Amino acid sequence: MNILQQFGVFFSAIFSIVTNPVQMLILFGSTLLGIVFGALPGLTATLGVALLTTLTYGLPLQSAMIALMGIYVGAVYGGSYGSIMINIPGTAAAAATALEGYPMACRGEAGRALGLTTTVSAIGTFVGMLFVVVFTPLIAALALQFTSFEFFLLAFFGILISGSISCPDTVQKGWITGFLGLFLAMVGRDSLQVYPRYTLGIMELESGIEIVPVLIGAFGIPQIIQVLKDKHSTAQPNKLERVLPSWGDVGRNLKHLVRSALIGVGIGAVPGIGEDIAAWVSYGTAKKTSKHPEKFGTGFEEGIVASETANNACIGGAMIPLLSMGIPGSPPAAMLLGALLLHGVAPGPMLEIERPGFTIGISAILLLASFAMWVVGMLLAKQVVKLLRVPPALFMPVVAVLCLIGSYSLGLKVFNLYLMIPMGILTYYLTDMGYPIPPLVIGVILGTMADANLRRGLMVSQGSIAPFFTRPVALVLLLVIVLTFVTNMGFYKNLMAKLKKGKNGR
Amino acid sequence: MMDKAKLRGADLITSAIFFLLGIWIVAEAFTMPLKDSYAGVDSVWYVSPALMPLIIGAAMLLLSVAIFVHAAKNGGLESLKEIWKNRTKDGLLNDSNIRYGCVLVPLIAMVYLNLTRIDFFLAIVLYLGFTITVFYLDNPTIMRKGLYLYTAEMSLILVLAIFGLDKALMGLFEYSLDIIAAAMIIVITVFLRIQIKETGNPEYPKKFRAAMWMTYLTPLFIVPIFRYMLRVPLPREGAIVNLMSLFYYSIR
Repeated sequence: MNILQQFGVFFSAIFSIVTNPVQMLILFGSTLLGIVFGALPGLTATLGVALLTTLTYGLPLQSAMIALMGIYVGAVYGGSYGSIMINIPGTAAAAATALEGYPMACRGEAGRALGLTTTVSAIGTFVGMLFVVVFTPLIAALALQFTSFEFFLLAFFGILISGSISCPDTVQKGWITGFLGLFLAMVGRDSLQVYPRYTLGIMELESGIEIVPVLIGAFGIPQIIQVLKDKHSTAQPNKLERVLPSWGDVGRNLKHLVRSALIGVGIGAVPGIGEDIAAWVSYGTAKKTSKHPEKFGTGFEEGIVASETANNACIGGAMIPLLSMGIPGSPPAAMLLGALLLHGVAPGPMLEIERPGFTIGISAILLLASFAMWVVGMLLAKQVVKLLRVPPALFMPVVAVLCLIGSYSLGLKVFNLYLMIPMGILTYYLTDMGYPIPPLVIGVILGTMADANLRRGLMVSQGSIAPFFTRPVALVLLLVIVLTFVTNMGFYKNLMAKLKKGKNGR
Repeated sequence: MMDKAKLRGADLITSAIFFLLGIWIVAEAFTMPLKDSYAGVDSVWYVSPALMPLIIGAAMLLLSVAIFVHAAKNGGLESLKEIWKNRTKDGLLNDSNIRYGCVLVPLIAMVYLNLTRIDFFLAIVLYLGFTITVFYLDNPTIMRKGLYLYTAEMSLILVLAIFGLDKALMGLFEYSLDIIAAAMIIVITVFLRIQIKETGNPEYPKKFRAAMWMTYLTPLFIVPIFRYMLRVPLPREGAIVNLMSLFYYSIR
């Protein structure tokens, strides 16, 4: 497709949605639902996408994607409501926003803070969308040159990098959960010889572990346990005056906005790394590079611009590896992958060949979702803030019921629920002990691909591992894997520390 | 995440579990066809279904050793001793564990016992009625007493399931388990109401009413959405869902 044709597809996708009242209703409804999901502490974007995946299963693909993208964009932005109004971030992605938003609200500038958040979030989503349009086809074209060896290494790299970055404790914990995910993907009959692996004689396990119930179990159940187990007091939100777009603040912070959007897209494109890390990295960078670092933490708009632009730009970033290689860039994108697979869409380098214009269509939805988010944010902020008074004890058990019925309804298998609960309890304990969950999920998703491609590649090369070193892309990936591994090792860190010390001593 | 002092002790335990898992993965992989023939096809090592599990198992063994060594070097053993020493200090049934039990017992009971035996509507009410009320009231005494009663009720269903009496009862009358579930809902509701009265807290009756509204409104929305809009056959359609279906199809 040439660039003019792409523009044609883009605008026709927008036109078809805008002129369809049902789809517009879905767009605004799901975005509002996402904002509510993000605003309520305990509910996350991932959980929102998970629950809506089950409800949109019966819808046509485009309508389902509108609903899922709407809730994703809305929820990432909605997290800022709790941060600004009650100093409790609705989602982890909005935690950095609380540092600046809440002091602003305490000064009586809640409306200005929310207006700024709404505007920069919409711009962040828009920038992310631009990157999806430009980079997805390029990366997909590159991935078309990949052979089985590259796909195996890519899966391995995904687990390794996700484990390295998302781990709150020692890096080995991130990697081991990635391998645990890979192991879970091995359960069932293997794709080449149809040999049953780790099925323990249970018939239902022969077809393998289904991804969506695992994802709901891994992200939903621990959240429900955590929120109900911890005591939560409902805070009284600050007073909210009129919410205005704050164009002046946006103009003054244009430099920070562009940098934060780039950070958000970049971090989003790394497999398994979510919006929370994007927001923190961007906030940290803004503080480091600011002319007034002392103002950070006192209600400084630069901080809000940094975190809110980055977390929403991360959405587009996360869509790039998902659409071009089938590797989700963030936990909600992992849920989106599950939803796409349910609708018979296999994201990856073949996507544009099998479904021409799909990526452009997703970009159009992203653009409309960011617009819907801005409109809903400007008009309904006061109403959403009222919801912050609802205690989690009232809605978390309802979410648990939705998780269960949603998981069951996908395959009409009660066995999915039998798996989901232990999965949820396991991930709850793993999280509590500093083991990150994104690598586990990436492992489950990419396990089958890694297994099949490794064996297929070795079959072609008659058991020779030489292609790992002779194929340029494979060699680059291998070197990156080795580099990621070595730079996270204790001896390397000690060596670097010694070198730094020696340099400073001289 | 738990604090660093406790974390290193816990790391020793988790790394040992991962190590054992790694051994099991590798041991199982060696039972898979490696170079021999499977289903009439001669296999070679690189097409073997054991190849990836061997890599995973080996990686898990190495990483678990690394986590163990890191934990041991950073005071893991002392932390573990401390955890072991403190294990009986608060007792098993302390408030924190009761709270945890209030999250897990109803959830596990709903999935493994109720969903396939009791009418879906009633199973949700049984779960929500208890969970929302105890967490919304957030009173340790009510939570504790409520959990004991709920566990007793679920034990009854468990006993019925173990001895196959559930099927026998349903053979006698299709909705007999639904009647038992409805009775359980009434018992737990009345019990919680009495407990609320005893505390004398003026806020509690209001909260209880809100909890009950949520309890009954949720299945009133969920059941029609999944059963009639998304056309999902529910895990068990008993007395209430069948009544709803009767009503739905008669007005349709």
